[in-house]
Amino acid sequence: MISLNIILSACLAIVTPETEDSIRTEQLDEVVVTANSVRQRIQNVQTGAEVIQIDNLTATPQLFGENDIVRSIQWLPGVKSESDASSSFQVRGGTSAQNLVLFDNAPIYNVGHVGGLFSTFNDDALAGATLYKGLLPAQFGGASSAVLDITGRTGNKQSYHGGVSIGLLSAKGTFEGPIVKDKASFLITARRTYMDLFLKMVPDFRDNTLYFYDINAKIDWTIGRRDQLFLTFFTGYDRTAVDKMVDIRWSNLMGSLKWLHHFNGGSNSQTTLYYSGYGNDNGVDFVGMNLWYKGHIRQGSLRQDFTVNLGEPHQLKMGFQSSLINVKSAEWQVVSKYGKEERRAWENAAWLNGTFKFSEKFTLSAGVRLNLFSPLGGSLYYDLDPDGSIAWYYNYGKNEIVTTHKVIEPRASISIQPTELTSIKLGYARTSQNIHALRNQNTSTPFYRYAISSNLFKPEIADQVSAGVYMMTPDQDYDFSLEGYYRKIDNVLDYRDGKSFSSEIELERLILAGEGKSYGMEFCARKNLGRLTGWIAYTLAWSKTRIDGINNGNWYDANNDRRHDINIVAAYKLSDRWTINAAWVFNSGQAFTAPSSKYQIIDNWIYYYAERNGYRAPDYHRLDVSASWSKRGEKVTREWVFGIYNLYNRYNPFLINFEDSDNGARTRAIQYSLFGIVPSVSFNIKF
Amino acid sequence: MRYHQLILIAILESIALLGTSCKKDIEIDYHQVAPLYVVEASVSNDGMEARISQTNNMDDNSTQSDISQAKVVITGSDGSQHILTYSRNGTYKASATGTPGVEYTIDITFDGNHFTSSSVMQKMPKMNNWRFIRKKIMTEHYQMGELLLQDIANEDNWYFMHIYRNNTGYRWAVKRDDQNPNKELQQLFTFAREGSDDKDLLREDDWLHIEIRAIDQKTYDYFYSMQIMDNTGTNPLPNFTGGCLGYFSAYSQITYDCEFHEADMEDEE
Repeated sequence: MISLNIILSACLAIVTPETEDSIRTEQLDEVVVTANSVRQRIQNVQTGAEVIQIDNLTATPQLFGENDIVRSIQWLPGVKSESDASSSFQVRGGTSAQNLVLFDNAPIYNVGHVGGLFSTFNDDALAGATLYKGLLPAQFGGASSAVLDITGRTGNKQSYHGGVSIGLLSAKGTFEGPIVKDKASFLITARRTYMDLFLKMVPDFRDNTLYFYDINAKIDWTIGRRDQLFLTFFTGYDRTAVDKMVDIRWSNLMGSLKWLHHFNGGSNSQTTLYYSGYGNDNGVDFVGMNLWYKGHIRQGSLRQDFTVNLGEPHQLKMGFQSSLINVKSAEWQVVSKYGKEERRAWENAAWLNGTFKFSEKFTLSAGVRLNLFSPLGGSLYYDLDPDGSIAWYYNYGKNEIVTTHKVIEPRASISIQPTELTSIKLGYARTSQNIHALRNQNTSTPFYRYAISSNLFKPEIADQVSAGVYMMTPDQDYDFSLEGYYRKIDNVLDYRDGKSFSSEIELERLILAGEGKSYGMEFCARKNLGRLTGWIAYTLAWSKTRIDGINNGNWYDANNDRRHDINIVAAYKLSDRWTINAAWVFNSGQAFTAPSSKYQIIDNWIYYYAERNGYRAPDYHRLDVSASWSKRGEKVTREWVFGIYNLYNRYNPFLINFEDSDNGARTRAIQYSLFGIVPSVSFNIKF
Repeated sequence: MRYHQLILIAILESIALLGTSCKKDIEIDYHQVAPLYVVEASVSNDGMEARISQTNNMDDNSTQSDISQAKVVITGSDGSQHILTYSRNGTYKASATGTPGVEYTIDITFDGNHFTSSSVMQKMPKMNNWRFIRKKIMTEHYQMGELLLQDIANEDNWYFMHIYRNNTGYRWAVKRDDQNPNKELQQLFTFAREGSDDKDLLREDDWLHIEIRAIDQKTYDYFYSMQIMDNTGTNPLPNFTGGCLGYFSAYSQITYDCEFHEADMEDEE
């Protein structure tokens, strides 16, 4: 069924463009940033780092009329969407659960609204972001794949600005301005869908609920010449309820307080105290069957960063972080059966990273991170028999350290610049992750069960080497990059055969650990100047897993293995008021498991799976286009954006199921698709 | 209907509000694999039976390849031993019935193959009620069935329920008693959406035959892993040694027969 739904939503004004220099230095928001991102791509010592500028989000056409930072990075080489229209992303063979998304230094664990159709980040609240594709400087840790480091925007210190938008799907508003002129400012943005209001207008849907909201607020206070405070608050909430039978809720809550102090000579100290929590709460009341399920992850941290200026351009970054973590992998009740698994941990990390420019042609960034992760007593720990049954319980006292996982993580990047227009970069990084996430095998729930490293779960440890060549034309109109990588990871997790998401309350009983590897190359050509700008990106990649007890212990293609990805993004400035955008994506078929034979048991046809992920889904491709019209007035700027997602209405694979007739005479492979063509219109106004 | 199915409906209905989701048949070039042996064997209060066959390739629409030359022996921990004799269509039978509490071991030998498994016979299950339900979910009505069992008191129990429609396998499920031990256990079956052309839609006068078995944990683990395999893309847990597919179960069974009449459906809003 295809119906063309005009989705009218409005987006607020695009923020002042900021480039990489401003990403980690929001405190300098009054400084006019003049750095050139093309030149930075050549000069930056870090390989595999992508800087996302908020004003560039409009270069990629939007789904449902929303600018979306997480969806935008999916157009970059080496980055994949987890599924059609999903806001989860995968980088260089890693899974989305192996990524860390930071918002003003605090982790955000669920970045999706409405099952992932919308990102949890409202672009009006953002300054910019950097995506590290596994090659992390030592100040970042906690992710065995990528880190997306997002910085929130601060309010205007001179005058009040804002905007309001109302559309069919959502409304959002922004207000910002000085609290004390030139000293303190505030910014508050809020967004809410009101799909539930439409549902209530239709008698058959009156008892259904489908909405989300999120709120961002930030206060920035310049105390003196040397000190500045930032207070950030973020919350998001989702609820989907069907006929008083099913009620699904999840939420994020984050607050952080940051104190920045400048020393003489360009050095600074940054102290951050934050809390971040994510939780979900689900209930079913269906024909007398009553059950509920919930889980959470909560983290409170103190982080200290020092940046020591060793004399331009040499720089030292060092610091430490201490976190208390509480993870409830699940708490549930099914009729009268109750289960709960909740554990706590203490994590400490210290790092040192130096960047040294030995000459105009040679830059080195090297560092080391020490990570100590200690699960704490107060809840049960156990040993397992090979079949996954519990062999022995350990009951540690409250806050008693069960064990400490120590990981030393060396990091290094080298940039060699033979000419001003070219550079060669090499990098190596070891990263580790102690918060593990396990997704339901069934695609119906957008939730993970989280677990911490324990006496049984070891940290996921990834080693990645990467090398790249970067070139630009003298006028910087074009630049090109070619990167290759090899990534190896230990202690990746997958389900035991015969176990599902909710088979046991003890998550460790569901899982086997193994190893993974991924490798590939990424090519990107960008056009940066003129009426026509954009890029072409091609990724050639392999991703494999090996776990004893699965696939006879042999290597198999990972769930996210996909050989070829092509992204083409273009923006054409037709006139001062009109801009046309188009983006085309092609992904060769993703690995999936299909049966190889069938047999009859209890008068039903059962499939026999001879190999894990041995088949390929049909190719995925689509074209998105948009056209925007804007008029800048003296006080008010208006913008209309007309967009079409999936212009040629390609039904791409989301899920493939198999069905047999009663007598097994014919097996049907059925592909389910989420979206055909989806047009949208949005209206933006700012003052 | 399982919990995740309800959530799936919720999400798909949400997307359906946007009106762009779709499903279609696609072609798959199935890989050819060597046939494997399949055994389905039981000891019950009704007798002993084993069926030995082979897997079919996905595009092989012929009937299964049955094995007729096997030696099938079932031995009980009470010292009993029974040799099953070949009947037809790969089926071997003995008239002896099982005794609750006895562990039975099956040995199958042919052509150099030796498959063995064991299972403990369980007590007789008890059914409290069966009813047809018409359940409204958003704008649609669904045909459902509700089966209520009385848990066997003071022990861990596992159940297997199988519904035949007009002598053809139709729906099945397994259940542990840990959700409500020693009390009533509920199992819901989703049949089809009313008004659809689904072949699973119950028609007037359809005859349903319901088998309810008390099974041991090993058999439960096998069926549970079979129940989730469509989501996981994995095979059921091995129940036999020797490399064959299938299972051996010693169980006590009751049956219930009824006809489907739309007028008998109870509305659940």
